Order: sequence, then structure tokens, then C-alpha cells
Amino acid sequence: MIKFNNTISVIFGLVFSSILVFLSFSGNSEAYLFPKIISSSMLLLAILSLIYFFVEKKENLTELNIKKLYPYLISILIFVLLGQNFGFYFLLTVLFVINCFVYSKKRNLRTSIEILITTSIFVPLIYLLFTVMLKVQVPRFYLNFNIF
Amino acid sequence: MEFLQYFSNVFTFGNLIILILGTIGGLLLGAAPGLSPTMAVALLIPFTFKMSPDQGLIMLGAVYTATVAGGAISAILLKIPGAPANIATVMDGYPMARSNRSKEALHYCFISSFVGGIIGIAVLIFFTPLLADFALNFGPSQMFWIAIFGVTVIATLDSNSVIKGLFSGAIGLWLATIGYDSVLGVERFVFNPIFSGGINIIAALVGLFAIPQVLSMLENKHADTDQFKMEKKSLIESFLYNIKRIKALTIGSITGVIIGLIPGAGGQIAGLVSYDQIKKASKNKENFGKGEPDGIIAAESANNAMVGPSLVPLLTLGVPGSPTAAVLLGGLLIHGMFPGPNLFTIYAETTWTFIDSLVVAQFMMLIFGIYISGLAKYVIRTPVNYMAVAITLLAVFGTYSVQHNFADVIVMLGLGIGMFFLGKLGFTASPIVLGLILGPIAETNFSQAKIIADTQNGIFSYLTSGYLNIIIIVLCLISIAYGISSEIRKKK
Repeated sequence: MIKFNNTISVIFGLVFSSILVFLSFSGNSEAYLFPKIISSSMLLLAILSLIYFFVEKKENLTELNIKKLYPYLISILIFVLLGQNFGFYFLLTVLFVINCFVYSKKRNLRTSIEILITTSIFVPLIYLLFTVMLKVQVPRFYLNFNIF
Repeated sequence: MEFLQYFSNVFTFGNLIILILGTIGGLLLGAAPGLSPTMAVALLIPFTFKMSPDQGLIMLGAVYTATVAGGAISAILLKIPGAPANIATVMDGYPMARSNRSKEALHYCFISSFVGGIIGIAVLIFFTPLLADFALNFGPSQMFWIAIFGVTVIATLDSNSVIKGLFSGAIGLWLATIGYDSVLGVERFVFNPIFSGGINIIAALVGLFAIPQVLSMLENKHADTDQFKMEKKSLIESFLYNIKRIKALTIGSITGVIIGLIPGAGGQIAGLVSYDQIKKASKNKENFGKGEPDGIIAAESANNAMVGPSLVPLLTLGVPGSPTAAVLLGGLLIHGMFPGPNLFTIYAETTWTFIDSLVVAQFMMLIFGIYISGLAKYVIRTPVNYMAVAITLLAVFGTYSVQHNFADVIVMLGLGIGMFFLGKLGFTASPIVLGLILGPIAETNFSQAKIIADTQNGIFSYLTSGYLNIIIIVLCLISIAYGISSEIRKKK
């Protein structure tokens, strides 16, 4: 369980806006004028939030159960890395089945069959909608490992 | 009466089918807890990319209208508002369902949504051209301030903290500068080739609204709630009863119209304010919260009456009246249509067809809403794991379909995951999206203003002189002041 509070929020604001200020002011062209104004405003807002943080001294806590999200986030990472090589339909079908199973309330044979039936209906529907009707040619399954 | 001229366009076979599909889809998406109208519209924008502008806008308009009303189904049957606009509906809708009056409550909901919706669209039809004519007076400096006003208003009203809201808006404006500068053609902040074309608006819309919602669904699965039987109830009886509740309908519709016209306010405020007003005006105050039909009628007529007026500042000035309208702005821009007077001259046919379709969408929403509410109870019980994975798939395919570019999918997923963590820190998606959409408009007009100002008294003087500039700057300051005062009131 990760706990988020105002301190993290203020630090994020200061660090993020400082990076943007640095990036914007490192450009010499006139094209960087607008980013300079925006990033400076962000830094000003971050400083205001720091002042507000010291004045209010109140911690608003939110929690994040990151463990629950690991399977989904790992699936996303796998898709980003391998999506173009393994193809959208193959990889997303596998990830669909795995995620549905991992996040289901009961993990038994009945649930597995339900998931397989749902997948075998949903994925062809996606194929019908995108590839047949909208003529979207998504990457298909082939193994040339040239990521990006 | 220009709007009557294009009415027949709505009834072409293709447009009518899209309208029906949009309405049914919107009702079902709205009924699913966690799928807000904003997210539904964002998720559907990639589909409209391949359609003609009128068909695309008809689809988005129908979905916007239907999701707001559809959200009441889960509010009444599950005590979970399908959208923030339906929070007030829970208060009396759920107690009615508990006392075996769920069908009656759903009838009131759709009939009052219809009445409110029609009144709202009437306001849209008559006010928009007037405001669009006025927008002809705007030059680069005014357009720059209008873009800033749009971001400010959403940032201060759609966030719990004014500072965080404005910071989110600034993130969006900065993200919009990635890629090539539109005036000088200089490449900026392209650290990886995937950013060379800038951030695609559709990828950003889908990512910022859909992925955080999916992560949030998986993190906190909704608890099971009671399931009610649908009793038999005559629609005509409900209709006659609804018409008799003229006070609730009037209060709801007027409140919705006024709140819709205020940029950034949105349906949640409309529903809650009208509920509060009807409660104060009612003789049966003690019945509120226990299943008083007036509570549903006022709240639902308000949140649908808000839809039309929320498009008035959007179509004329590019300032959205609600977060969903902000996403709809993305739908306009991908078809090359920029809000302002041009919508009623160059794109008059498309614009009026879209507005006329909203009238027909109200009838569709009424007809399908009443008959679909029985079916929707199955949809709202779709397990969270199926829903989350299905949304991800639609988001991935939808984003890829726009430019056939895998980089867009990576950007969409990256922004979505980033937004989820930003949400935990108290930042909101709507200002980022609006910053991203209005950023190029603000920057282009700023650059043009600077070129003009360099021959005069300088940029600062140019941007702050003239009554129109001053009025818009004052409006920006008012919206910030309002945001700060609401924040203080909430804390008390």
C-alpha cells in the first residue's frame, strides 16, 4: 500500500515544474517563448502550493493498493514491448484472458470457462468492428523482433 | 429559423442509424457505474474519425445526451450514480426502488430528462448564433484570452484545489507545445521520435479519461448491492404525473439551463443545485431522501437541461460548459472545425445538423431509455474485470485506428497511467485535456498578437488594452476567485 499526501504532491509540483522551466529556458529560439511563460507559471503555482502547504499544515491522505494493479500494469508493459511483433489480436486475447482471470472474484473452472466464452465472443466482435467495418489494419502476428 | 432548414439531414438513413446506435450505446455506457459521459465520449471519438463530420458529431451528441440520462439507471437500481450528474438522483431514486417503485422512478427520470433536454436544446438553438456573431469582434489577443479563460474555468471548477486545477491546465498547455511550433516550424521537446508529431489529441483524450478509470475500477471493485424486481407501471400514468409536477420540472430545467451556460460548471452541480432548490420550495420537505418523485424530476430535468446550454460557449467561443463538452471540442477539432462564427457560416450545414440531431436524440433517449432500462440492469452488473479489460481493448484499438501509429497507443497508455498517479495526488484530467486542446489556439494567437504588438507598444500593453480583453481577463479572475471561495466553503 502506497500512501500519497500533500507533501508528495508539493514535491512533485516543484520538481516537475523546475524540470519544465529548465527545458523551456534551454531553448534559444523565439519558439520557446510560450513554453517559457507556461513553465514559469507552473513554477509559480508550485511555489504557491508550497506556501499553502505550510500555512494549512493539513495532510490529505489517499492510498494506492499497487499490488492489485501489478498484473494489469505488467500486461500493459508486455503489450507496449511486444504488441507490434506478436500482433494486437493474439497478444490482447492472451492478456484479456489472463487479466479477467486474475481479477475475477472466484478463480475456478466455471470462471475459466466463462472467461473463455466471453473472450471468444468479444475478440471477434472487436475484429468485426475495427478490421472488417472500419478497415483498420492492426499489427498481426509475426516474429521480427524490431521493437519500435 | 435556420435550424429548420437542415432538419431533414438528421433523417437520412445513415444519420438515423448512428443516432439510434449512439443513443442505445450511450444509455448502456451511462448505466454502467464508473463510465462517465466524459469517458464515454472520449472513448468514442476515435470511431467518429472515419465518419463524415455530421455523422461523427451526431454520434457524439447522442452519446453525450444518453449517457447523462443513462447514469440514472444505476443511480436508481444500484445506489451508484452512473455519472457525477446523477448524484442527486440517488437520494430519492434508490429509496423509491427499495419500496418496489423502481420502474416508476425510471419513468420519471426519462420523462423529466426529456423535458429538460428539449428546453436546453431550445436555448442552444436561439443563443448560439447570437453569441457567434458577437465572437466576430474577437482578434488574436481576445482569442488568446478566451483560450486561457477556457482552461482557467475548467481548472477552477472541476478540481478540489484551485492551485492543482490551474497546474493541471498548465501541464496540458505545456504538453501542447511538444512537436513543431506552428508559426516558426522549430522542433521543441522531441526527446523520442514518437513525439515528433506532438501529442495526438485523441490518444490523450482516451488515455487521460479511460485508463485511470480502468485502474481505479481494478483497485476498488464495486460492492454488490440489492437487486430489485421491476414492477408494472403504466407509462401514460407516469407521464401525466410528471407533467403535473410542473414546479419540479420548471425549477430543474431553469437551474440546468443557467448552470449549463456557465462555462465549466457541469451536470453534477446542476443536479445538486436543483435538488436543493426543489427541496426548499416543496411543501413535503420531510419526504425528500425517502423516495420523493420531485427530487428525481428536478435533478434529472436539470442535468439534461444542462447539455444544450453547455454547448453554447463551446460552439461560439471554444470555452466548454462542462468537462464532457471539453472532450466534444476534441471531436470538433479532429474534423477541422474550430468553434466560432465559422461554424455558422462555412460549416453551417454540419453545425445545424448536429444541433437538430440533439433534438431528435432527446426523443430517442425517451423512447429507448424507458424500454432499455429493463435490459440495462444486466449491463450494470457486468463484472468489473470484464469491463476494465474491454475498455482497455477499445482504447487500444480506437487510438490505433486514428493514424495507424503504434506510438499513439504508447502515448495513450503512458498518459493514462501517469494520470492515474496524478489523480492520486489531487490533479484532474479535464484541465489537462483542455490545455492540450486549447494550447495550440492560445499559442498561435499569442504569436500573432506578438507580431502585431511589436509594431505598437509591446505585447503586455496589446494584450491588456481594449474593453473585450479587460472583460475576459476579469472573467478569468472571477473564475479563480469563485474556485478559491468554493474551496474555502468546502473546507468549512
